[in-house]
Amino acid sequence: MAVLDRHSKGIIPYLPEEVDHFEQEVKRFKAGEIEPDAFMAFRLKQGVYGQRQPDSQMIRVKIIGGIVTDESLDALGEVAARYAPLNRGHVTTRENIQYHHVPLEDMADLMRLIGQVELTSREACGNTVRNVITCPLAGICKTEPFDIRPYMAAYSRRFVRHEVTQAMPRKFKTAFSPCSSDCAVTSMHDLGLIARIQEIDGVRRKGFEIRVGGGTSIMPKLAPTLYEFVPVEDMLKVCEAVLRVFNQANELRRDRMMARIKVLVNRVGINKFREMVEEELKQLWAQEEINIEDYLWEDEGDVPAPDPGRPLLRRLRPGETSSEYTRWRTSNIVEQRQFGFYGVYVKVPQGDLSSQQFHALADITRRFGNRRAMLTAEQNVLLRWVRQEDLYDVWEELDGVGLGEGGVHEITDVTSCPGTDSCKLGITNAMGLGRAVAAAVQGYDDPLVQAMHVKISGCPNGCGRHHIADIGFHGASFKGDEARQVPSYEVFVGGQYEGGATQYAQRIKVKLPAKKVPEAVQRIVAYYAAERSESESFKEFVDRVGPKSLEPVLADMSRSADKFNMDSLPLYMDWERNVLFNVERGEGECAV
Amino acid sequence: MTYIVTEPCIDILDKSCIDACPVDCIYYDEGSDRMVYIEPGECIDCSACVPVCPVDAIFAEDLVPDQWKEFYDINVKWFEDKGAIRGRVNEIHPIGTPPVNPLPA
Repeated sequence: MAVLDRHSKGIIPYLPEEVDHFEQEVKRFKAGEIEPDAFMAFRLKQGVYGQRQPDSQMIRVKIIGGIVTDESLDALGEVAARYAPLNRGHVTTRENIQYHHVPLEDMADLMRLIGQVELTSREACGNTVRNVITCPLAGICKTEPFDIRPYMAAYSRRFVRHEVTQAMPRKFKTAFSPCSSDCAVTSMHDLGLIARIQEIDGVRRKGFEIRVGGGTSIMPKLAPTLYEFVPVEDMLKVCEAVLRVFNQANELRRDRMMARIKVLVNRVGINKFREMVEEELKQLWAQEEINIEDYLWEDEGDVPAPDPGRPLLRRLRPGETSSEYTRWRTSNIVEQRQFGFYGVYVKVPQGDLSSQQFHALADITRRFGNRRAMLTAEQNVLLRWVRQEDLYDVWEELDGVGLGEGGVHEITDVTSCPGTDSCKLGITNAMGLGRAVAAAVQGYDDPLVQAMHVKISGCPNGCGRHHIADIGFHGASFKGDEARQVPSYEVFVGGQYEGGATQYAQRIKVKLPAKKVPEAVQRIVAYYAAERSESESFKEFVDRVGPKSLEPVLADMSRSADKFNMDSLPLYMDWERNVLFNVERGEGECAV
Repeated sequence: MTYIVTEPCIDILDKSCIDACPVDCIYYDEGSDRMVYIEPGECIDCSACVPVCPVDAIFAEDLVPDQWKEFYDINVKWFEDKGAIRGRVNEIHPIGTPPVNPLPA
């Protein structure tokens, strides 16, 4: 094993020879010297996906834990400008950055550009250990028992390019939560780790609760606990045993739709699964030491910048009393554990950042933070180490590039997957609906309504995380007049993911035309606002009245499609489209 | 690709799959059919129907068990000639024979 630098810029080493090889394989593929399927499996392992549009590709840059620096933000912005025709990158719900519509021929150069800042797309796709996510407050959070980032990085370093993880039955998604609030939503992951402290023989030891076998899509499962406490020193070995058990479960390879680890855990039960892990820990590989110290990564730069000595108190500037700033100041700022410093959430509509915005964020972290930010699973960005006296300046800068909107993590902060804009599996245009819903829910001032989450996926798989939303939607279709297809959505209510008690939303029996969804959200909100008891959250409300009680609220909209004519035409078209809707779904590449 | 409904559906007709299908591609005629059929041109291979079937009757087309291979044609051809397919279903699984898998209690 190569010695890993504990203080390197990147967590996963960038290997130039891997990109040279990729470039050669592209040439061989273009020359017809490699079979398409073999090339597809190869390119997926390097993070390159096919798209709905046959001539272009998507590349997913793996950002472990969403950790970025000013340099990486600049490089990501440069990629958007040079290689992405739409001049933008997309923050995903897995804390990656994706670029769409990139020609295959440009990929190697793109990889070299991000390689300069030690980022890689290696194993961002395919049946591998995918990007690991965490809470953006890791390291600055008031409630975390210890900083999990070195261990999260160690996990990624151990299992990316590892011989056991190169062709597993299916992809494998991991989350590390810094505290019991479980902001990384470990329960919905293949493998989830939550920081714990346990006193053993009078010594306080760092460790993790380990959960395994969660997942969403068409078979939602919450991950049961494999171990209540595993000391950090043993964490890699236990995780490796889990991965080896998964990799050896060849019966999973028969049907790719039933090949995630949740299927195995659900079938045998967590106790039997634990026995399998313990049997695995007796094997030869486990007799060798895996020293966590060899894999740790620490970000020495994630500390306050030297105090520039700007005055704490100064004359109020005119914008400082504006409602926009006041709103932002209330919703988007979080006090760090470190006194006097703030984390600043940047609300990124639908996760799309232009090249200019990437550079602006880099610049802001240089001038007002300490060159550090985190991408979040809510498709936003968190700037770290901002001093109180600089908050207004930061807002002004953000506002100047269209990123000054308040209400982060609120009802207006709608999550959506890329949908039919680019994804082969998409049924509907989730991005377009996301924008329409966000516009329809502006202006609520009831804090309990503001606290609701709306999440949209373009298909049942759930990249938009609709399973954990207060109100979630996934793309569908039904037949309207003359058996014409109507773009539509299935509706889910009552999910929860904050505060450590993850619960999946339940589907209600209505199917809404896509164009009616914004109004449907307004109706649900109005019903909740009118019927709820004092201080009852939406999720508590749904638990009390039952999801079914929401069906009559939307019943008249369900499967409603007017007679097909010029007036009803928009109903037969998806959001932001001007052609009649038709379900077009390609072969997925996830399992190749 | 498409998904295929096989013999265990006959006389069970649970219809959970119809409820789960996001694109309404599962059909049957009330009173005339003993099982449901997936329209292969409309199926998007999402497999949402598979885990909800109480009698494990639905398979991806390349995973249909050997003894039920004929159900590929049965699914496809029902959309062309319902009468013929109903007759064939009655031959394969005569009326009055118990279902392949009983509904779970």
